[in-house]
Amino acid sequence: MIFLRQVWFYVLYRVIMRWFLKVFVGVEFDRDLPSISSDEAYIVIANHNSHMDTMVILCSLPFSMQGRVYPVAAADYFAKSKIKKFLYSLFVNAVYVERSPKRNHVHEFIAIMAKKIDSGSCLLIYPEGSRGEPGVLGEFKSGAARVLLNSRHLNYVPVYLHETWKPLPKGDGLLIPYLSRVLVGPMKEIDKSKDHRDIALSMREDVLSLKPLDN
Amino acid sequence: MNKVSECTLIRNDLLILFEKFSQLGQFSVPTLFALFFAFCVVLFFTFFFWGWGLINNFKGLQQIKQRIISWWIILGLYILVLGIHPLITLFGFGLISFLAFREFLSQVKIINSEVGMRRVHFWAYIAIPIQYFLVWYGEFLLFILFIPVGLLFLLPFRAIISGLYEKSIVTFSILYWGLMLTVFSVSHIPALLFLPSIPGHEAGHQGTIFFLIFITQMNDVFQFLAGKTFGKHSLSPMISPNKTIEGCFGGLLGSLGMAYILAFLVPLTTLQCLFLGLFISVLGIFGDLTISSLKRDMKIKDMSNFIPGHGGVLDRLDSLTFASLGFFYFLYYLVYV
Repeated sequence: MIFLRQVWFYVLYRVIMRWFLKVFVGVEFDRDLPSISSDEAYIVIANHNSHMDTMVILCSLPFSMQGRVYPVAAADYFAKSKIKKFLYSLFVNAVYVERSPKRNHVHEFIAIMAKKIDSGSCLLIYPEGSRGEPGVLGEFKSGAARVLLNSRHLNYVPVYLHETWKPLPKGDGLLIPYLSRVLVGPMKEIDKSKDHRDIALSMREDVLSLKPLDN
Repeated sequence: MNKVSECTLIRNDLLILFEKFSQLGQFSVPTLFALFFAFCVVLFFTFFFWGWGLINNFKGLQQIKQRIISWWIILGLYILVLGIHPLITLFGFGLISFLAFREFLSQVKIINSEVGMRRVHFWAYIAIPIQYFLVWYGEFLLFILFIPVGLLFLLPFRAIISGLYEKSIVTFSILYWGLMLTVFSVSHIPALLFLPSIPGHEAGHQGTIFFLIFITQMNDVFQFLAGKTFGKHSLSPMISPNKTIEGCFGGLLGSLGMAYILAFLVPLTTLQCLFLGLFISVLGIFGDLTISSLKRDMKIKDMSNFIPGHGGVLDRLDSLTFASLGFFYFLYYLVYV
């Protein structure tokens, strides 16, 4: 079953979607995200400006990681109805969180996510929270850092998505071809002695350091 | 005496081979001869520079090697795109136009986040398949009028429907000029295939297309080689400091030589053919400098990293953009009018 999932996401993203994004939309892919053994896990951290972002990152996964990376999606939008939830689980492999839960629920969610990571599943988190202002890297929320602090894995991979909002911006469903890039940074470890806010800050710096110089 | 007969034997063997090949695909026998010639030229350069690398590994050799590898890929793609079926040819050139147009728009950085202006961009993209459909449809007047006249009012029309005026001058001008540069001009290459056939022209339209593409590309190669060996005086120091007057002369002479050798591919007299070689060479340099001036203005070196060693699609198409138009109408005027 797990193997079937892996093949399904591989065919969907590496065989079909990657070529579509490359040839039609004009995404320039960087190296693949790191491939790790099944008892390890990492969180993918990326900036978020477009619905294309998740597709682009899932297309950068090698075969061994397909089906193992779960994009964390806002439940109020992506799991509004049962059909929607089913479709997003089937095609995007999403897990759902409440965007603004009650105070005592926060710990619960972080515990659930940490458990997921401990069992060897990777997460894709956009620490900005939502698709913010185009081309501007917003403040990072500390959720990703807190999940890592609560689990036994410490790794995260920063990814910068350069101008992916231009082909498919917020507020417009029409896809227009335009060159954009994805930049994958090296895998990093968090400093466990630090506060989660400081970790979020250093994560933001890591993502920002991948941004190409505007020529 | 013995040697001559051996040569004729090889020639006859090749001829039989080419006749078999010409029945398989779209290429005529003279075109296959020319393709074989191109194959030999690339093979020669491969051995030449790899051999040179063994003796003396000079600076810039790596880039030349990468370029030669790209040449092999381009030669293979040429055979794939033009040799199988005219519809594949149309699709291939349509894709090249699309990639070049997307590159151009992305580098100019004019996408407007306003929803209405994005629709104008979308209409410009839609024009690409329509233009190539018109090539296939064979209505000559429609094909030459669609972008220059049709898009002239269709692009503003879309903006006006949405009541948009912000950045309209920039958007209309860039989209229109970009379409002319990358779609209108490139679509004239496959359009040569759909012209009425000329009695007594053995090479067919495939030969004409090969003549155009081979001479523009060889012009670049000769320019590069002559410029590297004798180049001293810059042709246009402000736009492209690497281009030298000596290099351009080398390119001109090389194109003339190639036009003389490949004269059997086009339905023209030798004198007309030589003039055509000169014409293509001059337009090639001119197109090259035009794209260079765009890049200079945008302060970039290459349009993208699509072809290793060459840069983007538009970097390789640069000399073809004007040459294809000049060639097409020159030929059309001499043969059909």
